[in-house]
Amino acid sequence: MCRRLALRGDARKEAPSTALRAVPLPRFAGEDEDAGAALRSPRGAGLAGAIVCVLLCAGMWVLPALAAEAPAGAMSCSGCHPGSANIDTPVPRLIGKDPAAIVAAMQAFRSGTRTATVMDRIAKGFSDDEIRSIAAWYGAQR
Amino acid sequence: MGATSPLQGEVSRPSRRQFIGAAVAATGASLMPRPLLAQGAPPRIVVVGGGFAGATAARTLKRLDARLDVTLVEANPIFTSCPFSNEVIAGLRDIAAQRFGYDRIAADGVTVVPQAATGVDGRARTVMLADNMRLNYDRLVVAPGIDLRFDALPGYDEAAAERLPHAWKAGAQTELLRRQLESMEDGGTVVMAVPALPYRCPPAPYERACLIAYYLKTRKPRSKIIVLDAKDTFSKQRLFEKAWKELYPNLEWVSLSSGGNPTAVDASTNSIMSDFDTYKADVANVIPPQKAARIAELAGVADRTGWCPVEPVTFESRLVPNIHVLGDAAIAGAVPKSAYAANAAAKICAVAVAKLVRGETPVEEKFVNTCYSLAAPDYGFSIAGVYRPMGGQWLEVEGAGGISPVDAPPEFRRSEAKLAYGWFNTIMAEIFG
Repeated sequence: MCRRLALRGDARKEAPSTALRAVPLPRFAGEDEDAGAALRSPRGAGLAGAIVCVLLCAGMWVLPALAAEAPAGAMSCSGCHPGSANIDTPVPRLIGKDPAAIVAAMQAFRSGTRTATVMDRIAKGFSDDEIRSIAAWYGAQR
Repeated sequence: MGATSPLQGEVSRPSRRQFIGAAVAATGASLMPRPLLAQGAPPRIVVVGGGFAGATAARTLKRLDARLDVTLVEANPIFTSCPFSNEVIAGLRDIAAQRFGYDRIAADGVTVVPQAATGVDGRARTVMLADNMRLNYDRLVVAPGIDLRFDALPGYDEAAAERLPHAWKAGAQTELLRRQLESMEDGGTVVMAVPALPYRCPPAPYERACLIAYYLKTRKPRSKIIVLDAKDTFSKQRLFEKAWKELYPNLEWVSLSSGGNPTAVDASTNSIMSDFDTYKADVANVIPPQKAARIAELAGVADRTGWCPVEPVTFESRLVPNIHVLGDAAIAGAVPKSAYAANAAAKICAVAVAKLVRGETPVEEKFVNTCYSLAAPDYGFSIAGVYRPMGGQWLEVEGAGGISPVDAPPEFRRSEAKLAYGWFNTIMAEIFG
């Protein structure tokens, strides 16, 4: 899964996300090995303290957003839609795809204008708004 | 509690997260309405069971928030997948292709504890392990899968299962059934016993019947298979019945109302009794009734049915707070006991748990289930459903989902067979890769 850095598609547009952008998410989350090394050092301690302080002073959310806060329904797509190009499957990847193309495909599956094996049955369970949110979220991932 | 590993008595893990926790606490504790994090220790989440649900939950939690202290308790060092194990039984696939290790999950920062969980104290929030070690948790995810009920079908106990395999937990039982089929003489009779719902993977007995019939047809053409069923209706029924008609004159399905209900087993004669008859088998496959695995009962999350009722969205137990139940052990409204649903639900549960330990409220969710069956290696079909919480239950969205078209051309079946293999590759990469 490659969504560890992804924010919600709509959150990305709406949020004044300067603080989140200024502080790389993995570093603050302690996920990145280099950042981990930095944080273990005394100098890293100062850095972490400074980051926390800056965020608090700015009145911003101290904890990073949950990495994979996906719109409703999005997480279950990856049961079939592969996370990497190395997986042997006829199913296309959604990650990084043009959201407009995903929306168009889903709407065509739903209306029956595009033939499908299973996606016609699945698309009927989603509204236009839900489809747009899911498409934006996958489109925003790399 | 302090910022130690949940493994009491062991040296705690590297201090990076302790340090981050301490830094956050020191600078921001008074401003943060985050009880667990404000205490300076990362929230401890223990997952019991490393199958489709548990392994997905553990890995997703860690990916959502690397500071979470996530421990996966699983006695088996290797997971053996039930999906596609029917192909192994039919000699179409090597069991090695079903085996997956926990290395990549551990590499993501999940502490993998290769032990059996022997008890849960929901009040003290403690999991007991086989070696008497204890794990403390803030939230527990129980995803232990099923136990076979060896008290349900007279004559079918653990010793009988060594002669008449169930093969409903993949591994040695799968290989035993395959060997029995391989050593059966041509002209022999295979008899399957299929239970009433609920049980793990509702369409799987019928896929198995197909693939055994495929094996007999191609390798032992004078042989036949009889399916004794405790039901009159079952998942993807019209699709299976069409496949039987098209492909397998050597397969006979005896429904409940035709007297097929399996009532007893006699291991000494390799026989299965039904309401009306005794079927002597050359190879017998007895799928007994099931229940949530024992640890669920010990944790107090299983009800009198033997299964575990849960809330929608969070999959939190309706019986014990701070314990979430996933996978086949759970009763989650209309959610089927499938691997796809276990994986999808586990991701939703992981998000909810990650939010709950931050003091946030989980949001409404929605998910898809897609389940493929193979009637032959190039003949696949599916059932799909979209689920959302309604009235305190996961229910299917009306107008969506359903089974593959019954009158589809062979290309359609071939295409769905390819999708089935693709699904397996994708989901296993997501969970274990």
